[in-house]
Formats: sequence, structure tokens, C-alpha cells
Amino acid sequence: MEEKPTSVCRYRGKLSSYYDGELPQSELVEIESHLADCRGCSAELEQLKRLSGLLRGAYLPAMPGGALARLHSRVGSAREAVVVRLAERLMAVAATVLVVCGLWLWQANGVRRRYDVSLGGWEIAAMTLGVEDAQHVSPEELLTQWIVTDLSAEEQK
Amino acid sequence: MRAPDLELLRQAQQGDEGAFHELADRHASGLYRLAVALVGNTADAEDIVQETFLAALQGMGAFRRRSSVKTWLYRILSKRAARCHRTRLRHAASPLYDDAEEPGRGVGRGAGPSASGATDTRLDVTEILQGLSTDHRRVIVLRELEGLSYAEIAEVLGLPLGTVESRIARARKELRMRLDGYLG
Repeated sequence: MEEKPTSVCRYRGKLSSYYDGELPQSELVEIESHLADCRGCSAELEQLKRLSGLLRGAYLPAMPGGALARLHSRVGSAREAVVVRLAERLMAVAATVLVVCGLWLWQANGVRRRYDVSLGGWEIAAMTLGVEDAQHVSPEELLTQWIVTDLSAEEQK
Repeated sequence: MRAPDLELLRQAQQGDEGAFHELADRHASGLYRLAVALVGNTADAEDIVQETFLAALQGMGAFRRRSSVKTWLYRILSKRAARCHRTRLRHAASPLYDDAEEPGRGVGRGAGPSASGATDTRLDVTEILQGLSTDHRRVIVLRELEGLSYAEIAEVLGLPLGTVESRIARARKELRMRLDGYLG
């Protein structure tokens, strides 16, 4: 007598997820009800459990103590390297700020000296002579005063 | 009572070196086992675990707590292992896991001969596990050996949930065929 091929139960494809507890509640109830009546699916589920047992016994070595120590050492070195790099960057920024400030101060000082040299005695006299004083003095006398002040300044040098 | 992973990571982010070392102590073994399962040898596995924690150290400032710390670490390791695998494939003269002349190269047979049947079974299982495709091996190891949920596996591997579900089912089917003699 020819045997009819066993049809695969329509729930068979869900057994793996059921076994892992990953089915939504509605499907879970349905499959559990089905398992009570389906020897094929029950046997399949049993095979999945045995497979898990075999896999958990696979030879996967634990991490050796030396490897863990090397890991900690490398992590420690990496952290130190990060701190050193940060310190180097801060120092570079500080040095740049110092150089820029120094250049700025040097330039400002140079400008002041240029103005000091270029100001003649008559110009200083002209600037220091008050407006009120200038109003009572004729332009010729003013000019004479500036010249005298300028010459005096030159002599003092 | 030990601090949760997220608390340790927060402390590490604020500069607490000890907190990061404690995280390493907690997860190094699990990551190492996974790395061994993924790449098939202990030397590469150790390198990958180190690289994983170094990457975590550099990138922990960007960790946004959208996943658990464990899943985050596993994700980093998975990428490192995939890169290692691609590099070895480019440089290997022969396939890594299908070498008839050196059966059980790697962590399987390398453990040494034993008269114990149980040990032989373990070694056979290991060898068969290493013989799976990378896609199947990754999901099976994460599910069966590390106990991650489908959602966690999907996050670690960057896959849709449905893909994880179907790959696990197919990997189990393949393993059952190969381990038929052991299942009874």
C-alpha cells in the first residue's frame, strides 16, 4: 500500500519562535492548544530542546586570565594616551595664545614709540597750549612760542 | 549590590577608570566566547575583544542609551568579527571552515584527543557549529549561547526582526541535519 506523504503541519514553521518565547500572546495560545493534539509538532519541539542542549555543550573556551589582564592593560594605556593627547592640545592652544599676545604687545609698543619720535617739540607745545591761552596771543607770538618750546626740547635732548 | 551596566557606563563617561574596568570584567568572557564562535580561533578572538573595548572607550561619549550596554558591546564586537572574517577570507588560500585536509582546525579538534565520548561530542558539535555559514552561526550563537532575544540580536547584527527569526529557524534546521546522529 502506498503511503501518503506526511503533510507538514502549518504550525511547524512557528515552532522555533515558540520555543524561544518570541511569539505574540495570541499565537502562543493557538500553538499551545495545537501542541496538545499534534504529535509531529511535539516531537519537533523535543528535537529543538535536544539541539539547544548539544549547542550549549559546544567547546567554547573561557577567556584566559592572561587575556583579561592584557585587556585591562591595553584599556589603561589607551586612557593614558587620551589624557596625554588632551594635555598636548591644551598646551598647544596656550602657547598659541601666548605668542599672539606677545606679538600684539610688541606691535602696540612699537606704534607708541613711532608716535613718540615723530612728535616734535612744537607739536607738543601746540597740543599743550590751552585754547584760552591761544585766544589772547597773536598768531605770530604763538608761532614764536612753539618754536622756542621746540628748540628747548631739542636742547634738552 | 553591583551597579547596573548603565550606571557604570555613566561613571566611566565622567572619567571613572575603575567603572570601565568593571564593565570589561563583566562582559569580557561573554564577548570572548562569542568572538571565538564567530572567528574560530582564540588569537583573533582576543584581539577582537580588545578592539571592542577600545572602540567602546573611544565611543562611549556617543552612547545614547537606546540599547542596553551589553547589546551595544555585542554590536561593536559583531562588526569587528565580521571585518576580521572578511580580512581572513581575502588572505586565506583555502576556505576557513571547509578544509578536508585539516578537519577541526581552530577551537574544535585543537582541544586535543580524548577517550571520552562526551568530549568527542562536544568537539563534533563545535566543529559543526564552525561549519555553518557566518550568517547562521552568528544568530545561533547569539540566541543559543548568549541568550539574546530576537530584538537584541536584530540590534546587534543590524537586521530586521523577521530576518533574525527566519535565519534562526534555518540555522536550526541545518544543525539538526548535521547533528542527526546526536539528537536521537
